[in-house]
Amino acid sequence: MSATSKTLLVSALSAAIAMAAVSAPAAAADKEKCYGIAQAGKNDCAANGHSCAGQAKMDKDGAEWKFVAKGSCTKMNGTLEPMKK
Amino acid sequence: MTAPLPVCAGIGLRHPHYSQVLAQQQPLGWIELHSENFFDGGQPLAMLQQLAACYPLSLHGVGLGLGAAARPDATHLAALRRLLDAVPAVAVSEHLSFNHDASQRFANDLLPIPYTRAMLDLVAANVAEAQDALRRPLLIENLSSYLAYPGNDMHEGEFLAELVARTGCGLLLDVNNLYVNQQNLGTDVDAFLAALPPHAIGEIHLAGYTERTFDDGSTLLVDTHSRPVYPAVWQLYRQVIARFGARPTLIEWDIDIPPLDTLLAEAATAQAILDQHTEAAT
Amino acid sequence: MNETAWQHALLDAITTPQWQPDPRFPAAALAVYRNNYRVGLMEMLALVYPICRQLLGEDFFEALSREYVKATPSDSGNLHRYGGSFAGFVAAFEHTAHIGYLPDVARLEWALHRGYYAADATPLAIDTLAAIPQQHWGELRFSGHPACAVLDSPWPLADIHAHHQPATAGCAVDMATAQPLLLWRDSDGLMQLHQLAPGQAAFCQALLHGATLDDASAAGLAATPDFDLQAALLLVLQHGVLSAIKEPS
Repeated sequence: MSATSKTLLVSALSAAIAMAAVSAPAAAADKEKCYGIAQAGKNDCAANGHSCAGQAKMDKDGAEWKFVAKGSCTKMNGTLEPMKK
Repeated sequence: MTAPLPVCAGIGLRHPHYSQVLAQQQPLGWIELHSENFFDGGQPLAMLQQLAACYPLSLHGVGLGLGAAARPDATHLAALRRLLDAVPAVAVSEHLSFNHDASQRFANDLLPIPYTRAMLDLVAANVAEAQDALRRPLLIENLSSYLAYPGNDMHEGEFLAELVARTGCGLLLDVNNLYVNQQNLGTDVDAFLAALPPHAIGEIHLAGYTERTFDDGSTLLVDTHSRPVYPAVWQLYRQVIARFGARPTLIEWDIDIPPLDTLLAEAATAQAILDQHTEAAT
Repeated sequence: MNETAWQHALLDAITTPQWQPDPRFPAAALAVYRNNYRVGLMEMLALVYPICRQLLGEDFFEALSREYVKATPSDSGNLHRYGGSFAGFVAAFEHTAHIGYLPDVARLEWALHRGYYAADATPLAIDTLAAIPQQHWGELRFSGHPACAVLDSPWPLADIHAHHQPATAGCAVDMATAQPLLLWRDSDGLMQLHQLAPGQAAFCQALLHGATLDDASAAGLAATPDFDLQAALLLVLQHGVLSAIKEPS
C-alpha cells in the first residue's frame, strides 16, 4: 500500500466517520425496495411444506410437462427473448 | 425449570394470524409455534419474543428427527439451543419420527420408526442427547403414520412408555394421530392409551384429517391439519381426558387456515370439555 | 441392523426421482410420503423464489421446481435451508439456460431469504472505529453482518426486482444496465436493496470476505479508477454492513 493511498484511506474514513456520526445509521438511510414480511413461517406443518402433517395438495408422481414460459420474462421490457450477455 | 403449560386450550399460531394475535390480546391460554421458523434471528425471532411476552409459549419442532437410526444433526440441535436461550418457552416438543440418515440425507417429513428394543436404545440415546444439549426435558409426540415396520415387537404406546422411563421425557399425545392410525393401520387405541404413563402426558394435540382414495381403490386418512376436529376425534378426546385428567390442549390447523375466530371456537370446544371434566371432578 | 436398513430403504423409496413399486412398502402409503416430500420442497422453492416464479409463470416454475427437487436432495431438517443451489440449476437446465439474468435473480432471492432469517449482530459502532489510531486503520479486518450480501451482477437486478413488487409492478427494465446490489437488513428486520456505484461491489465483497481496509480499498480502485472510497466507507457504516473488528491473527 503506497503512502498516497494510506493518506487517502485516513482522510476518507475520517470524513465518513464524521458524516456517519451526524446522520442516524440505517434508519435514515434509503428505504429502497422493501422485501416485506411475507416470507415468514415456511417450516409450518403441511401448509408450507414441513409436514407435521401430510400435504393436502397432490402432485402427480412422474409428471411430464412441456416447458413454455408464460410469465413476466416474456413481457418485461417488451422483449420476448432476454438479451444475452 | 420453568412453569408448565397452563391446563387449558390453546392454538397453533401460524403466519396469517401473527399480526392479529400480537395487535390484541386474544382469549388464548397459550400458543404454539414451529421452532424451525425462528432459527437464527431477524424479524421472526423478534416477533416470537414479543409473542412470548404476551402468551405462554410452546415450541414445537418438526425437524430434529429423534427417531432416526442416526444421531441428531448437531447444527439443528445447536440452532434449537440458541432459540431456547433467546425465547422463554414453557414447553418444547418433538416427534417420535425420523427424517434423516447418517449421511445427512433428509426427507422433510415425519416418518414412522420401528418399535423394537434395538430401536429403543438408539432413540433413547438421541432423546437424551437432545435433552442434555437443550438442558431441558422434551415432550415427545406420537405419530400419524401410513405404514408400519414389519418387525415391530411392541406398539407405539409401549415404546413411548419405555422412552419416558429411560430418558425422563414427557409426552405430547396427539389424539387425531391416534385416531388416524386406528383407521389406517388398525392401531389398538385402548392398548395404546393403557401403556402410557399418565404423569408424563404434558400436552394434547387435536386436528382434522383428509380422506384420500388411491388408484387401487384403497383409502387412507391423511393427517393434513386442514379441517375442523372430527366428531369421532372429539369423542376420543373426551375419553382421553376422562382417563388421564385435564391437560393443556392445542388446536392445530396448517392448511387452508381459517379465520382466527374459527380456531378460537375450536379451542373453546376443547376448553368446554376440560371444564366439564374439572367440574365433574370437584 | 434391520431397523437401520429399513429406514434407509424408506428414505430411498421416498426420495428416488422415479417411482418404483417396492414390496416392502404399501403403494398408497408410499404415495403419501413421496407426495409430502416432493410437494413440501416444491412449495418451499415457490416461497423462496417468487420473482423467478413470476418470470417463468406458475406452471413453468412448478415443473422446474419438480425437476430441481428430483436432482437435489434435502440436506437439512430446517426447510429454510433448502434451495440454495437453485441458481446454478437454472443456469444449466436446458429450458432455462438461455435466460441469462435468471441465475442472478435466483441468487438475489436466495440472499434476501437467508438474510431475512440470518442471525442478529450489532453493527459496528462509529466510536469503536474512531477510537482506533489512524495509522492502524488500513490493517483492520471486520466480520460482516450475517444478513448482508453483495451481488455483483451484470444485470439490472434492482429494476427486475422492482418490476415484480406490488408498489412498482411493471416498471421499466433496461436489460443493458448492470445494477450491482448491496443487500442489508434494516432496523425493522426487513431486507433492503441498495444499488452500488462503480467499485463499491468489489470493495464491499472484499470487506465481507475479511480483507483488510487497505486491500478492500485497493479492490475498489482496481475495479474502477472512479472509485469513491469515502462514499463507499460511509455506505458500509450507515447500512450496518460491518459488525465487529476482527482481532489480528
